[in-house]
Amino acid sequence: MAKAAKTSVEETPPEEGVRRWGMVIDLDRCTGCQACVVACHAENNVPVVGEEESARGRSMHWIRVERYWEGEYPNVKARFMPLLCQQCTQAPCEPVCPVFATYHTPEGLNAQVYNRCIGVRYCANNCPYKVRTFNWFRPQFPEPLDQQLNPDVTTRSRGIIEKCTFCVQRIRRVELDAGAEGRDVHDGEIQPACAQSCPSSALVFGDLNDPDSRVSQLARSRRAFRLLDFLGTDPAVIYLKGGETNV
Amino acid sequence: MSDQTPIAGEEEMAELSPDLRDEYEGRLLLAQRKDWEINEAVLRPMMETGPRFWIAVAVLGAIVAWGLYAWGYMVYYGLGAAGINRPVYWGLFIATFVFWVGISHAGTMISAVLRLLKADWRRPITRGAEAMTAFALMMAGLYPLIHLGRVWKFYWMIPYPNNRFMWPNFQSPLMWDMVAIFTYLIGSSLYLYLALIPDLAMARDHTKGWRYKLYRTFALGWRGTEGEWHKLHRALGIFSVVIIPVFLSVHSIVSWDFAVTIQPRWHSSIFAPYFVMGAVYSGLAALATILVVVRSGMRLQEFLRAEHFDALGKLVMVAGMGWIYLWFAGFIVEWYGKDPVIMELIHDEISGKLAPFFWLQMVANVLPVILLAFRKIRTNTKMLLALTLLVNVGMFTERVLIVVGNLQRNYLPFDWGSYRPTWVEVSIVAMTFAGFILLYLLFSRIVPYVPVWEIKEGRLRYSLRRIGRLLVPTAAEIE
Amino acid sequence: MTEESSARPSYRRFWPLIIVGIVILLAGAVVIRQRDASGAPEQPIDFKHSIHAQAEVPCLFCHASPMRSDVAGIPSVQRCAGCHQTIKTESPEVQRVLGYWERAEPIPWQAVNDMPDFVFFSHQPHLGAGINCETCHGEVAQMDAARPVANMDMGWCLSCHLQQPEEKVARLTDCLACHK
Repeated sequence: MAKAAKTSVEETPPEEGVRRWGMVIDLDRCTGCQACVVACHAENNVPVVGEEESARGRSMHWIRVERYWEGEYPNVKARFMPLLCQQCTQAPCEPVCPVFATYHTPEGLNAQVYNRCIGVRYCANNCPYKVRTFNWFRPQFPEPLDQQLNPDVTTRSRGIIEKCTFCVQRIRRVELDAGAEGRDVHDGEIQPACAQSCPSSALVFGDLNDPDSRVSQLARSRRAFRLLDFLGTDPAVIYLKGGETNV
Repeated sequence: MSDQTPIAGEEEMAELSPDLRDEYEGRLLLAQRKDWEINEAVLRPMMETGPRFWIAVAVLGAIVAWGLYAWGYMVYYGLGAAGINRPVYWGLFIATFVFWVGISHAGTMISAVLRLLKADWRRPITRGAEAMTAFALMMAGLYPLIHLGRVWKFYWMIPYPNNRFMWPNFQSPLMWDMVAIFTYLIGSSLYLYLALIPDLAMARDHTKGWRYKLYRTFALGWRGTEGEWHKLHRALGIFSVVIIPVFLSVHSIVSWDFAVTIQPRWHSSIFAPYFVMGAVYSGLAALATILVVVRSGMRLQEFLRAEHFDALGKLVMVAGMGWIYLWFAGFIVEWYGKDPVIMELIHDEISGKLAPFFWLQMVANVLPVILLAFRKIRTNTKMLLALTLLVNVGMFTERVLIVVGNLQRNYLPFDWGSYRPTWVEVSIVAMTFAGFILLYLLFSRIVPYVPVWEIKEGRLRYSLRRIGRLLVPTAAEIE
Repeated sequence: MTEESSARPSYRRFWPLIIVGIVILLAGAVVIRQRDASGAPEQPIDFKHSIHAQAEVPCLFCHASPMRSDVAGIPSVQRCAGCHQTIKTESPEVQRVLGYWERAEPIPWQAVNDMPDFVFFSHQPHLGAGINCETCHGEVAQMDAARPVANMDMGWCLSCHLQQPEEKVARLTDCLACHK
């Protein structure tokens, strides 16, 4: 309870009617299947850089499943942690950008404007989660990948930073549609690609400022924690971890 | 003027210690020289360029051309052509940037601080130091461009009104950097130019052809009237004061590029003074290196004497002590704090895979401080050359360790990595070194390297006078 | 040469250089302005908006979807053929349209206003807010071939977004409102 209160109420008092998008990731449910990673690549036109570049630390995943081994053989346990941009409220990446290519939206998203980015990579250095990826070369979409590019998301050029947006194109689409129909956005109506594709429903997306939303209810769990909370970045991604799952 | 200078007799000189005797002999010999002799001694090496000079220019030019090709290659294919990666997003480029900004420091430090303090030994070396500042800053200023992912959009960092209502983010230390470096570059170039005007006029009056036209344009019609001298001294006095806070701020701001982040080991409040001190240390050492080389290359032994290297060596030593102190003050706090990430970084540096670099840094920065304590070593130009080069090897390694070493580890072990520069990075770094030397070489053949008017002015000060049984060197207050 | 004359350099010879520089700058400015007011693109059919407007065909009859969609929609050949199978079939241009219809080929219309890939634009909220077609596309009813009337850059978008009611400006000037 205390942790959840800290998440949304104490540090950032909500304005009336303003949403704050957030995500709950239940580590006890995560099986490390990487479906979220694949879905994210497909949805967001994230290029695949290949083995060689990945080995040099140039992989480009907006969400990645970090795998840690715990214990010594034969008592080894694998721990999985899907890691995506934490959409920090006090984001260390934002103030250091010299051209405002990364900034905070009114709805609590940590936005990256690709066509404004000039590629100083300062934000990536200052990101404690290292979730920002850089286009080291021209992104390649060899046949037939170019046929499945998402028209709602731009393809990026070389030399710029990109990162998880909570699938802002889906948020925008639902908001515009709801606006056209003159109604509010329902809880659960917006689903980022990763949450949509998770077979064990470990990822839940929603409005943290709405106390009745599913994501708010989950965030109030006793199992809730936030990654590197001591840095004071105030992330919008809340992890749940309790018992001995995660083989 | 030279008639007025009292000359010490043979027997008086014999009373002094041999070192001091050499020193005063050098000064007095210079004091006896006629104006035209000094002019010629400075101008002749400027005009006479042997084949060695042109070979050097050709070699350096080739390195610069190769570096430009490497840069073009990287711009075309993307920054992936360099060795940087996640998590080492900044590599050799930023390390060399910090190094060049550091080198640029000593120029102003020597020139402005010593001019203010009226330290007389500054006279023959001010111009060389100021030129070093300007050229090192030009090289440093290239790196923020080189390391941009989209260099063709660099102008978005310049605040200019536009219909998009988009301004740069002045919260970003990179903007502070840009403002500081531009201010420093403009300030130090003006400072260099101001002190150059009387000498350009001197050169104008002694040359023909294209040189005459060049000097005439840039001497701005200097005639050497009382009023002009008065204004020049006033202007230099103001500049000397104003440029000191700028010079301190530049490297502090460069250090804040790192210190304001939350990256372990970068996030340190001692970084600003530590960087400034390191900059002064490496800059003074670089100046000593350059002066030794230029002295033999341009036969300026008459102007750059043992006493100058002695004084410069002392300054290098003091700056080195300051660097060691600040390094230790930073290190002990981090080490005692036992933060796990910081301990991992320290362990990596002292006994891990970065250990060779760390120990190279420590030896190369500490050994010169010890050896430069001896006057014999300070005044031996070969030893001084070796030691000051060693200092800059050490300081370059230090910059690389700070930038690259500390980025390899962070809070989440999943994101740990390593770094190895590619041919592109090495070529571009070599380009800036060659470019600096090239600019400096050309500068020394176009502009009087020794500030003639300052030498002539300083010449009035020296004499030996007998007071009772003692032979006392006197220095008249003329400024 | 006296001391006086040698000491005073003549700066008069720089004047031609300065004048040439100014001329280059001015020429550049003119060229840039002309690029902004570019003409109509070459179209496969000599289509005249003015004739259709005189016949009182509303914009939305052919460009059917801006009220409910991101795009206004280039009319399909079917829509052209729907009228022109009976109307003015003797015109050579109409016959060319019918040629496409018979071959079941799309007409390769050229876009008049093109947004860059990194811009998200939807017609629906703009028309929903009561903006007319003419506000952005000009008096197309007076044109033959449609031509762009505004240089649709970010400053142009903002010039309107900043005029909106205060409570909406923050949302309308948010980068993610238009950038994707």
